[in-house]
Amino acid sequence: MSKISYQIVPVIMVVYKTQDDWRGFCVPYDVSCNAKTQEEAKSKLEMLVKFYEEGLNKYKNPKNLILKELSDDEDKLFFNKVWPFISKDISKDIESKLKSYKNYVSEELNGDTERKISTKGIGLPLVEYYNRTLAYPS
Amino acid sequence: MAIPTNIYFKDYLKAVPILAIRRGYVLKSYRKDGSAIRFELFRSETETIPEGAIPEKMWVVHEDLKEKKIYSDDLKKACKELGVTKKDFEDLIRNKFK
Repeated sequence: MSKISYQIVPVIMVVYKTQDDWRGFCVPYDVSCNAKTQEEAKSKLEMLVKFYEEGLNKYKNPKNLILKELSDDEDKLFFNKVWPFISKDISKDIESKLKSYKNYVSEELNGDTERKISTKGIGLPLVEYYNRTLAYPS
Repeated sequence: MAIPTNIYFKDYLKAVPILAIRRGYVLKSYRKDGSAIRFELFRSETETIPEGAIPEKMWVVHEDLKEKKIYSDDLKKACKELGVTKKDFEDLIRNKFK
């Protein structure tokens, strides 16, 4: 019997204010959108990410369609700035979940956990980010 | 910064399938809620997609019904996935649809 192993990746959606508009992007899918308001950016991004994930699910989450580099340079720069804060927050979350392995596994592998954390206090124009996980065959 | 380009969304939708064929792909596209489009590119020797095939490339765009023009980052995504330059894209639109 062949053995299938899975990799788990965090799926991160970021919404931020640009000079004139609002912008949303998702790592690692390279999904992005522009909007006039924060709420609009958030809902557009969520809709696009869900639509992208429908495509992924249809083909059983192939790696080549999951791990993509961001196309927009501004998003790339912004993500590099906020990633240290987000990763710290994710580690904290994983640590707390690891207190109960059963909780961790059921929450992470069911893929239905979604975190919304405001990081307004870090001095960057970041509004919110959302994180959930996705498992794909490695 | 992502800004609206001078390319209309309707031209973008016409150019992607043409460039896909030129680059040896079979394109499948899906619409959702009237404003989101998902493009899937399959590598195929024929015009049909082999059963069980997985797309080589995939991306989604949001059609801005007010702006009616494609944003620079969505143009960049199409160019990246299709393996063409921005100039290839613009030239095609200028020569075919204007």
